[in-house]
Amino acid sequence: MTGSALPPRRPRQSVAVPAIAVGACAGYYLASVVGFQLRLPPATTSVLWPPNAVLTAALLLTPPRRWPIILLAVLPVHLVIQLQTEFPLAMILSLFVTNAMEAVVAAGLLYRLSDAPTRIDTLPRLAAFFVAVVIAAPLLSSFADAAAVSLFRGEDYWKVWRTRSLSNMLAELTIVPAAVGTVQLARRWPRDMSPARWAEAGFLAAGLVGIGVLGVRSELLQVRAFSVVSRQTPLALQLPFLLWAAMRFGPTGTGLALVATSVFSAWTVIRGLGPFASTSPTTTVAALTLSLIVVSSTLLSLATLLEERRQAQHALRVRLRFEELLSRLSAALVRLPGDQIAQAFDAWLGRIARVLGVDSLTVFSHNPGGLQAVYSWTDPEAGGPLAAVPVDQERWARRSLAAREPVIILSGSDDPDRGPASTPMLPGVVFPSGGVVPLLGEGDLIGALVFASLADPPAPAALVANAQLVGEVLASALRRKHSEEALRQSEIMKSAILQSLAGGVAVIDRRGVLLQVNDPWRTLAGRNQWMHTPVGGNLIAECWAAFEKGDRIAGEVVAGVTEVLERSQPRFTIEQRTEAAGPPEWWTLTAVPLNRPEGGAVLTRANVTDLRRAELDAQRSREELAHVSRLSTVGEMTASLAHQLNQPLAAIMTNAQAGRRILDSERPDFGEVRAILGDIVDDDRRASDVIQRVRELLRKGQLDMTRINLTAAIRDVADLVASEAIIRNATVSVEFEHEPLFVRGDRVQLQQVVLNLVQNAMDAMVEGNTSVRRIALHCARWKQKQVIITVRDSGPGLPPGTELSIFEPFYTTKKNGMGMGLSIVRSIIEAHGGMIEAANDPGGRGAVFEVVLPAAAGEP
Amino acid sequence: MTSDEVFVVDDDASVRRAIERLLHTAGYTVRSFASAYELISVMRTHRPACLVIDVRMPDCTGLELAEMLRGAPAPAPVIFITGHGDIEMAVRAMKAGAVDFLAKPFDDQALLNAIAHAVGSVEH
Repeated sequence: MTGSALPPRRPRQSVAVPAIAVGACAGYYLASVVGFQLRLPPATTSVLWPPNAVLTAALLLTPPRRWPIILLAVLPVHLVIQLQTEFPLAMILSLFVTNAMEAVVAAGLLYRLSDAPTRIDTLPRLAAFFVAVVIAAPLLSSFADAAAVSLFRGEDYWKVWRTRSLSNMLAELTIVPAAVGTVQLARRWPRDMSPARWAEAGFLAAGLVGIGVLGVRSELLQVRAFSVVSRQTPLALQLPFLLWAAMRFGPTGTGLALVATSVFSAWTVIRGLGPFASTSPTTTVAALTLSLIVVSSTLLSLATLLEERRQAQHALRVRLRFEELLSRLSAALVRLPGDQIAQAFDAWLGRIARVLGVDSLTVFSHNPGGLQAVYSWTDPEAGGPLAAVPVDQERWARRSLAAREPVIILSGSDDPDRGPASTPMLPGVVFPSGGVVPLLGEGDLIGALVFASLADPPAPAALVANAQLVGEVLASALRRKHSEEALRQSEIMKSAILQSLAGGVAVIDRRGVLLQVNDPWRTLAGRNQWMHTPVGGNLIAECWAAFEKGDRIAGEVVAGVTEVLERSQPRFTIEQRTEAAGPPEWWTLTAVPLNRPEGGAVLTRANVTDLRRAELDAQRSREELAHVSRLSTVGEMTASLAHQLNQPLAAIMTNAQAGRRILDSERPDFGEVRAILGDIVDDDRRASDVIQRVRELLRKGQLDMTRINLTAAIRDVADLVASEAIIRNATVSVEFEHEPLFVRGDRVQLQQVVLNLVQNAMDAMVEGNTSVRRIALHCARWKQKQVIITVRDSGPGLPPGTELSIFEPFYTTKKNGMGMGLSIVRSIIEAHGGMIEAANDPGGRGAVFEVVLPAAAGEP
Repeated sequence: MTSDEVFVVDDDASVRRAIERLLHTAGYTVRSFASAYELISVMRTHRPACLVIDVRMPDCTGLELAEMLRGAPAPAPVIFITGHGDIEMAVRAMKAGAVDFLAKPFDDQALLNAIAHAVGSVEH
């Protein structure tokens, strides 16, 4: 994602150095003016010389590589001020060098010794401050300074060194904590101070200034008791205020209070009013400075200790608050259903941000399209709505997400040489500091928690650790939300698919309890009352009840579905025919196992009326075609049938005429007449049989599947074609492996098959001009529960490659053929659940047709 | 050689028997055969007054049989009977030396006249 369209505020760091340079110049000028005022002529050295300390503070607030800018900026100010004195230019320049040297030594050494040079809030940091800033820098630089002053002014070297060391120590001791602390306070302005606190600070300042002013004006000294206290116990009057500052306002407040006290004290001494008034001015200055150093050190130490304790308490409080927040957050989110998590995030982000101590908190969700800010909170006091951090455009954020490790970025101004100072600080974005915590779900990135602040956090490591803990809680909630959403989507999709199916679907568990059902299941129920079992009811039990009331189909359903539920059958299908007021309808009910470990089954109900009707139409067409084909076959056989009928008719006529002549004779032979009459009856029966066979073949009937004697049926066909064979000079032989052989089928249609095959063979032999025309009909048992019929001829055989195409409709090689014969043969065989194949006899001449049919039940 | 012996060849037993009876009533001596081969073996030693042959038989057609018999030194007259009376067959029968051609079923007098005529023509 990219940042929002809000105009980003300029990063602070780019204005920090110029601001500090300007501040340093102003401070240096002011400090120099004050320093000159606090000189005790004729000495060159001041009682309190603050410019060096101001310079030190400016350097501490600036990255070291910017120090030359600060020093160069201050140089003109130094010249302007110092040129007002009677000092020679060489000395003025030398004094700048020594001043700068003190500042550089102080700041440089503190950078080496302290882990946070700008903060005096722990004992180690305080110690580093004392060693580097308070002791080393003033003492070292004073050697050079004393040399310059004694060279140009002829003053005593060691006296100058001593005075300058002490005055600069006091200045560094008081001004550096005050200045650095004040600038840092200003950065957080005005949020860190409540009005009450401002009032308290005002009272404190008023008290200190009041005592100072009164002291200078010597009104207090008019009161004898005060005068004695002031002279005998210096700083006694200021002590309560200084203690107040140390206890309530930390090192910064203490520093400010000490600066004010030092300035007023020095001023008092210079006016000859303060303590030590009885001694020489030089000794007085030294004594005052010394006592101020001692008091300041003590109070600064006290302030630091208290600050350290306060920070420890604060940290503990923050820790407790954080842990309480974390536990309440976990408790709140863990109970929430996925669809309420969004609201919860919105409500909790602000509280989390406050406890973490950050100004802005954003939760990003990782979608296929990238990272998207889904929940965001920004402290309204942080300057209104702020642009979201463009996490996937920031190098450091991308690195963090790729490494699955949190990263924190601190503003470079406080901590210039440490941290990823080379990394751009959220360029174009508000926050100088911030970080990102990857949100993980089983190792995969599911989002990111991004925090940002206007100021650096006091404990970055703790912040990261806390943010990670919060991140884990948020990640688990986010994960749950995602998975619940995915589940809901999948449920919606499944339900939609189920409802969109044309067929009725019901899902039952292993006990038969109805789990899910779609609307078509109800609408297709028809009169099956058990199909209206409500979800949660037991479908099998309802079905069984229907069976007990006499529903035979329901009984079969119970048995079949139970077998599927027990996994003893992979599938159960039953067909139902209904004829309630209207044309008949066909239904199927199918059960298959539900593919899951807990078991169950899926029942589907479909209306297959159209399918069945089409099948019936097809069967009717097939029967029509077969009939037409039979008519045509019989038509082709007219000549031979006429011959078959003619033979008995001729015999009858001749016999009858012979009988008449016998009776006309003088001595009729009645025995012969009786024999004649017997032959006539036989011939009549013979003629009748022929007619009967033809009539059977021509019968137009529905498919009548019964157990039939296949061998007898084939023999009838052989008899029927006998005279045809004679006419066409062919022989038809019949050989059965076993008689009788039974199949289940339609007698007429199976006879038609044999008749067509024999006719086909005869046609082939006649067309092929075969001299020896033999057709062998063979019938035998085949493999298991099958019967094979073989029709073998001695013709020219099939043209190569036509073994399959000859069964296609309209395939013919005959001049007058329709090409339907073999196609009809195949459709009849297939309707009987059998198959037919054609091939050329590999051992000889001619074609072989093999028909395999299922044997009738009960056949061996 | 008797002049009233008639040989009948027909594959249909019932037809054969009926013709035998009819010819008996006219006083002929009749021998009947079921196939051409049976006849040929007898014809080596016997010569009938007349032959009545069915045109279509399983092993050999009546016309083929007549062709074979025409090669004999003194051929007997042949009368064809057939269940399939057609012009082509009649022409071929006459060419093969048939004296008459009758379609089944035939009138008794027609057959008797044909035989009497055949026997007579040979005697003349």
